[in-house]
Amino acid sequence: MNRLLFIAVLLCLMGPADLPAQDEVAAEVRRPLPGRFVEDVLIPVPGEVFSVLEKLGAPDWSQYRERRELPVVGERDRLALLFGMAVAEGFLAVESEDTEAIEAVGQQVIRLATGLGLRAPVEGHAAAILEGSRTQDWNAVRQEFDRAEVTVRETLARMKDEPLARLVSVGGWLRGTQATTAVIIDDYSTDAAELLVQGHVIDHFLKHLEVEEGVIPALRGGLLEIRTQIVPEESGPISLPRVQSIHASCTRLLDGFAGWEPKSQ
Amino acid sequence: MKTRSKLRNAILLAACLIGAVVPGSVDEGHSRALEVAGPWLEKGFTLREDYWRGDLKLGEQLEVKHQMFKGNEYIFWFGVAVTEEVEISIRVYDIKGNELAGEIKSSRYAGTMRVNPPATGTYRILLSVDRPKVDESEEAAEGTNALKTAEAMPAVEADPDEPPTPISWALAYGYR
Repeated sequence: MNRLLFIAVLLCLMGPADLPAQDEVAAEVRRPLPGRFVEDVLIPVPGEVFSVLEKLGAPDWSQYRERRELPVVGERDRLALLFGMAVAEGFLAVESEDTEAIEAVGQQVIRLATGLGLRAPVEGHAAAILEGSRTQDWNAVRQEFDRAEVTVRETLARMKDEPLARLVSVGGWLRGTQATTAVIIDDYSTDAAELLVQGHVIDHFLKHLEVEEGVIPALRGGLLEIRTQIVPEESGPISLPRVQSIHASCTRLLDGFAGWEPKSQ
Repeated sequence: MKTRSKLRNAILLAACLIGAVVPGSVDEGHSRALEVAGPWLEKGFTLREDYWRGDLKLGEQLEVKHQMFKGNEYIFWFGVAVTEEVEISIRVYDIKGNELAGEIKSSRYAGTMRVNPPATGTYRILLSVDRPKVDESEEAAEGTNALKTAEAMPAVEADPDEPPTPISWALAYGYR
């Protein structure tokens, strides 16, 4: 009887087996810190990761750019994801210091914002992006892409559309991760692969993807796939096959949102 | 290009200072944080537009979780909307609870911490605002990272009959 009770308690403490981030949860249980938790999670912009990759070996960013145009679709959840993708594309274009590409992305940002009914709040940012690009003030352009995304998310949140605001972040993160994994695959190193240890970020996304509508179930499935490839921080580096798997998951999801045919390898 | 960047940062700083003198404004904590961020942006840090914000009570400790990437240098600016003399504390821990060493600075309304994360992953940032410690030698002996405000301000008087007034705060960060 006591043994059964012990097993039951143990199972309760372990929680559901499919819950992500067990590594981090376990670590926190070992060394708790006092303090009231702040629920808000800030998602890193792609520029933060690209900045490290640049230090690790200055990749040719232009070869990782997506040249297909993002469609303005009718479904708002897809549109929010596509808007996030466009902003991430902007960060990529800035890394390649390609004025023409930045201007093209700036136009995409405006078109997608218009589709979301948010043209007015974004127009000023788009103008600043074009101006920064013209004068080659790359840091200003980076900051303006960041501002454009924050403006859209905050406006959506004010319109009581927090789920859409979160999808903007998810779209940007996925496109940023797709580009990051592409760079790592081409020049694998454990330092670069470590950039993918972002369990907390994915867990935050998964926590809020509860509805069973539109693209959400596929998105959740893809994120769970990616989560399984991110090994615990103490278990050694993320291997090249895992990086490739994460890249494939990101690509499949992004192609689906944009309605693109998979690229031939 | 650098001139434009300086001009932009000067405008940002001016906007922050204007915001900082508007008492009770919603984002007063953020204005305080940006006030101390300005000089760092001149040193090549890129400011994230997103930031954390909220209210906290005197003596309460907040915990913010954040993803950082090894190879980047991060700087956090913790601004609070206070008029009294307080101690502002900002510390960063890894997920296992080990405190990160870093450069800490203080101004009248804000604490700054600059860190180089030793690994990519989730970090925990602990924030608090407290009454100034009376015995400075005791504080030194404790070896805490608590920040004492540089300028003399009236000390916070605790009134047992009054509920603690929430303090508006914001935490912004930059990277390079």
